[in-house]
Amino acid sequence: MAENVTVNEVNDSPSSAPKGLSRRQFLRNTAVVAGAGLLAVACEAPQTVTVEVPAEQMVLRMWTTRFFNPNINLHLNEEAQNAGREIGFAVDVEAIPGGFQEFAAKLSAAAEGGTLPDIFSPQLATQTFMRDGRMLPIQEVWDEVGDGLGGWHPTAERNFMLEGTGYMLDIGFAPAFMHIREDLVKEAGFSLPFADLDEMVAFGLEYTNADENLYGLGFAYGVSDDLMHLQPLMWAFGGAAFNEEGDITIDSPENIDALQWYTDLYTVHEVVPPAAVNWEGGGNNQGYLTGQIATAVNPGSILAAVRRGDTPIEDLLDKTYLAPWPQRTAEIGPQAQTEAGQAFGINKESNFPDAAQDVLRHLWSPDVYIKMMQMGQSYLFPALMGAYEDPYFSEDRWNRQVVENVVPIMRDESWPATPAPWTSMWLTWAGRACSRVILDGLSAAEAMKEAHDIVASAREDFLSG
Amino acid sequence: MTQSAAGRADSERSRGLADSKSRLKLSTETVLGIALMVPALATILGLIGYPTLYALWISLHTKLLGVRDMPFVGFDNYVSVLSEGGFWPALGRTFYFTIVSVAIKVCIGMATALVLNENWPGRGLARAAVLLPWALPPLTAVVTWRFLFNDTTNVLNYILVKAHLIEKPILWLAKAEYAMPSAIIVGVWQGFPFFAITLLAGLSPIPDDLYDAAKVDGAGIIHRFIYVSLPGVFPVLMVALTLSTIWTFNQFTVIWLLTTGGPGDATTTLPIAAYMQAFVAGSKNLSKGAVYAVLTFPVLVILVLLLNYFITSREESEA
Repeated sequence: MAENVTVNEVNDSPSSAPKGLSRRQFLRNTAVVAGAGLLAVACEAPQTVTVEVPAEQMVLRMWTTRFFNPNINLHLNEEAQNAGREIGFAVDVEAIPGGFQEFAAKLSAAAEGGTLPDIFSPQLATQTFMRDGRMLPIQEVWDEVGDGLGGWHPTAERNFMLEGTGYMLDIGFAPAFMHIREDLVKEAGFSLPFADLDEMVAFGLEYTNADENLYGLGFAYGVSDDLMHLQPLMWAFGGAAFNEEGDITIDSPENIDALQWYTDLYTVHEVVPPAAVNWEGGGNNQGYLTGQIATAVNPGSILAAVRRGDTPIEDLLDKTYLAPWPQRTAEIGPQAQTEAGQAFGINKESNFPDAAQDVLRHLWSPDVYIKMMQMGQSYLFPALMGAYEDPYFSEDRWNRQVVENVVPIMRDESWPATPAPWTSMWLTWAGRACSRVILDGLSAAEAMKEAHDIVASAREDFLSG
Repeated sequence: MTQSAAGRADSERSRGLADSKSRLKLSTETVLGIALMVPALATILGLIGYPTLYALWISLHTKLLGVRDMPFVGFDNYVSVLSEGGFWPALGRTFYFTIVSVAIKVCIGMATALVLNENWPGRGLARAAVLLPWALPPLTAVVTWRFLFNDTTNVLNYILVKAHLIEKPILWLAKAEYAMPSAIIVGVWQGFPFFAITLLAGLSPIPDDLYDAAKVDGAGIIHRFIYVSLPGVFPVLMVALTLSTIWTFNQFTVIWLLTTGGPGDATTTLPIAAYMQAFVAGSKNLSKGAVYAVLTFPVLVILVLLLNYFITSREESEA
């Protein structure tokens, strides 16, 4: 304040009022000020400054992707604000547009620039962020939340704990399951559930009419949704992409057989739409919702759209039967794949770690959490076991089909290996293997060898990095 | 005599002083000029120079998404990218996409400019309408095209079949042989207005007298185009060609939104390959993504130099 007065006094003084500044003076003055500034910055000793921030300026930043169902984002945003009000913070929730890749790009830039928000979901980089010390351990919150709602699902524990410590709270799973048009299956003379995979193919052959653009099986063969289709099939054939020790086993005979069987549906039986080789993420959704395909494997985004009535087909919800993929029988074993889910953690360099933990506690409190699951309209299934007792999951006809038949047998993409960066980064090798067989004429064995090498190279990158 | 010599000496000294003052004054102005340029230069260096240098820097390291450590690996990433087999086909597809797209854009753009340069009712409205594809947000435009190409909705196929142009539906985005032409169609649709409007600006100043004189000499439409319009618009055409080549070579949005580089690798051009390396496939290796970007740079420089050479040699021959 005193300095301001002095400046004003000097400026107001007639004797010191500028009479016109020459270019030389201007340049000299500018150079002197700039030089002095640079010198001051350069000479300043590094120091840690503790700033007392007024309450109205305290802001927690939170990043999330945009969920398939925007209601989840709305609920998350609203409850984050409520949590902030309870502890005297404003919570700035930013829903980043675009897909996982766009989110990964933004996250990467923020990590490089040191501008990661206080609360966020690292998504593709979950394992690397946990292992690289970017996330704050939150075991206490993890335990409190788990105790409050019947404990965590083992898949959440596998993916978001590191060496027995919880780092992130899982918002819920998006297991991939089969959506089957029960009415069309009955019309074709079959009944559900299919006795085995052969019966499913028989239905596909019976129903498919390429001239009418109608196909019995709506599986994907491109880099979108690739793992959720091929990997459970590999498990069903007795294989896996990794063994328990984490070794890559993609080119095993069982996996090659699985790829052969899967690509035969496209190339030999022709029971899937030809465009499935390059469907983007919503390709099979659109196919099912418009009636082009009679079955589709997908997380609950299709079911959520059906519930909302985003379809020209009358009573599609009533006509839809949900089952595990591949069909659960004694022969093929109980496996279905799930995404480990979006889990939210706290930036280790956050200025407000305690407040951030309070926000997470609020968002994962029983009432708020269960409402978030309901907002998902079957897109999300709880990571906390107690939430399954809610009538929304235990009484709703379609949710119950998933809860009873899919949730108990779902595995994350790394299973049976311990999740690691190279097992859980959705490397798109499965879709590539499919398209190499279908488009480039490689044998299943050659395509799986190539996929094996891709993942091995990724692992090498991580180990050397 | 002595006085006179002394006077001359004084005079030369004062002239020298004046010269040196003049030089000093010029020098001050130069400094001022530089000072005034500093903000713009700093912005350019910050927004272009820094990312470029950073891309170069990380291309010499192993930088993975989310991993803090970044070990120095020299040119290993370059060797790896150049030998892995993905780079060269992507480069070939990029040239194919660029050359075909730009050639068609030039032709359609020139034809449109010639039509819009004539006097006819509604010309103003047409000029505005031509700009629409250029002005539309790429996301909106490409998603609309994807809807047209889509095998489920089948809009384009329905129209083509009804018009008896094709017998059965074409899998525009699912067959390797159609996917790249589809991407080119969308790229051309979006990019030709730039040529049309730019060339129109080049055509407008050409005096009508020249066309009249050519007509008197017996020149038909084609000859008038070759000997009057084309020379008049040539400098503008070259600039537009240079810019469009660079933009098309770096085209990402259209291809990514339309095909995500597929089916298989059928539409994986260099920018798509760089993005895939960095954020989608493998280990999310930002360094290898940067290598793709760095390797694109000399290719673009060569392209621009070649175009500049053609422009300069043309101007010299005219001079």
